[in-house]
Amino acid sequence: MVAFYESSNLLHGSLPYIMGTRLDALILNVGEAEAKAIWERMSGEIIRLDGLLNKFDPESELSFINRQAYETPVPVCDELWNILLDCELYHKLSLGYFDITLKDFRQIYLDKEEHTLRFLEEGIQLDLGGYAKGYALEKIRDILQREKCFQALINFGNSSILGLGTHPYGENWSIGIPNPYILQENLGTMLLKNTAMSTSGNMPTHTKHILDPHTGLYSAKRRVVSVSSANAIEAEILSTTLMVADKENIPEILSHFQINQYLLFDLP
Amino acid sequence: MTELGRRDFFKQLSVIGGGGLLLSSLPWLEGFATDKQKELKGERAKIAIIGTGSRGLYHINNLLAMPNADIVALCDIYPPHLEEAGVLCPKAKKYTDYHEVLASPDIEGVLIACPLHEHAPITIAALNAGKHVFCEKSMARTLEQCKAMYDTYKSTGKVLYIGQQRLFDAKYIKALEKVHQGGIGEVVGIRNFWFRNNDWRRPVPEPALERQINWRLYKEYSGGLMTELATHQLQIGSWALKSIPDYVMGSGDLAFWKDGRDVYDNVNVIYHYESGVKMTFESIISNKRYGMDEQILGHTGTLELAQGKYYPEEPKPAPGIQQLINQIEHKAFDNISIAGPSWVPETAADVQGEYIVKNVKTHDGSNTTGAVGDGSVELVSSFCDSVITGKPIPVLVEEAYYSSVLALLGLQAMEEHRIIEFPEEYKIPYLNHA
Repeated sequence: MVAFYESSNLLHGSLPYIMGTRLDALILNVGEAEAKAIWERMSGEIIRLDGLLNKFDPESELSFINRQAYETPVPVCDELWNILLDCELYHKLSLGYFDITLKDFRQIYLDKEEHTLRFLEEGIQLDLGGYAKGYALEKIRDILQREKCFQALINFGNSSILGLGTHPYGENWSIGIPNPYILQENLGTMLLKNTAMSTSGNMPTHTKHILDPHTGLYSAKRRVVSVSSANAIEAEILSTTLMVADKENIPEILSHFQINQYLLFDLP
Repeated sequence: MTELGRRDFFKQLSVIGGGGLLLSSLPWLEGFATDKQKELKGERAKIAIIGTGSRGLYHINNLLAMPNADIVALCDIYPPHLEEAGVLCPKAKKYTDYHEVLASPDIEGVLIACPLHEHAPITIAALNAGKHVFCEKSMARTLEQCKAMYDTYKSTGKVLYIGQQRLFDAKYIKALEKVHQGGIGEVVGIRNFWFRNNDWRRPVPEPALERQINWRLYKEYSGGLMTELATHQLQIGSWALKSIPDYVMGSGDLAFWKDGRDVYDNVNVIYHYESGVKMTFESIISNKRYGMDEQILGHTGTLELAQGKYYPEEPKPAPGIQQLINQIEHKAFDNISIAGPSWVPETAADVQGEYIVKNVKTHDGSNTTGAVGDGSVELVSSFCDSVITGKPIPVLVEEAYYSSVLALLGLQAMEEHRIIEFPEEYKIPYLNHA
């Protein structure tokens, strides 16, 4: 769906079902034709990534790996290979809290000569849910910059947001974090300017969906975490990590990342 | 129906006390509103049940719980059914000839739940005898009979109810209100279907009683799927479009249950409206996969009436994003409070649909005597009110008349293998023919 608001030189594009959620993009001040061309490119790219990284799509490369990699080493395309290396690095930097196996990262073997992947334990699966939206936001940022668009707001289902440039009538994009347990109450605000933010948490309607790989248990905390960073992938990884991390580990984890700000709320 | 049940019904419709704006668009409910109850002064309508088979018993059980009803007589030509009803209503007088019921001055209203071919003769005789009448749907076996019933209703000024219970079903009322308020845009199509997988037979104690008990399966008494099932659903066309079709076509066969019956078990009918919109009815009783529903298709949304659900054509815009767009359009800067755990679209209205009323009660159309919460109780309770006040209610008979006529025209189109134009002589002063 695309709508162009002439007087504001604003395009609103949306994909209602993508990467397990919804994408909304506001593209500003590039004119209608150019904004539409950018939206076409951007949405095409997101649909492509969904086909690569979505474990719920049986046709995706990730699903193919999940089906085959215990039986035999699976050759991985360059893009996915680089993603896996990235995830390996972030696994270390997060002290093991970020884990795309959701269980035991040691049970995957990356053959750095052959660029193949093998699961060492039956039942291991890869889940890029805590990574893909950040990765997609970085891809979108590349497209926007290449097309000389410097003002945009990209929202992936409210959990991953990229603010490029500023709101046309403000000095940033001001994004509030509502209390999921108390209607109309705001927990805090993040100001985005060429930065991304990611938010994780449990909701009254959506509890226990974030797994702690160290304990194998879903987090039942009434915690909400938002992280902003110049790098959308790092914001994405850290919001999930801080959701499950023990508080005493947080300073060490944060020392491995360059972030702008994090807000952590343990709600009564 | 208890006072509390009646309050719940209006609560579902969000009409406090029964007054207000909404009721003016639902004139058939005005007498039923809770604030009209005082006029009834705790009176009970003296009701006779003519036809105490399965549907008759269903009504008896409901009537026994209503403070405004008193079952004073029972009538049936089949002794086992009369006995069964007699156990439930020990004080009621038993009859085997309905003429005697109509001659009794103690009876104010009759509820007719007998085979279809008897609807018209009994209803007309009852109205002419000064009784108020509730007659099950379909109205009658033939077009002539439907018209004669309608004319008698108008000339006698007595109360007549036909069992079109959807007019008293909260989820239907709210859904049609949404249609009339433009909530699904322009109506572009209506699809009705009713699928079951059973032989539609009742057990017969001795072969001689086959046609009497399984009257639904024989043309002499019944129009089969059209009069027994379609009539309920075809009313949606008149209700939603506020007009009647200009022509009807269809195809019907006895394709599976070839057990001696002579009504179709496999029908497909199209009702064409002048606007170009079509309403369909499809029924097969040898496959139950798709159950029963009425679907109103609008250019901005879809209603599944029997499920009580609404599906927008396009997903609603994310509220925060719309707010941000509005800010920019008004050259204003403000915070938007949207950050949170990932929004999961599986719960979104356009995938799962959203319920039209709270505590919606649905059924799959497989029950052949009556389902819970389908408006039947409200309808009969309202009839008892009308018997007490003696005032006919608007809309109901007209809606029932057209839905019965549409069912019979569909049957005629199938039997004669031709397109049937809506006959002038069967138009009444209602809807586009006022």
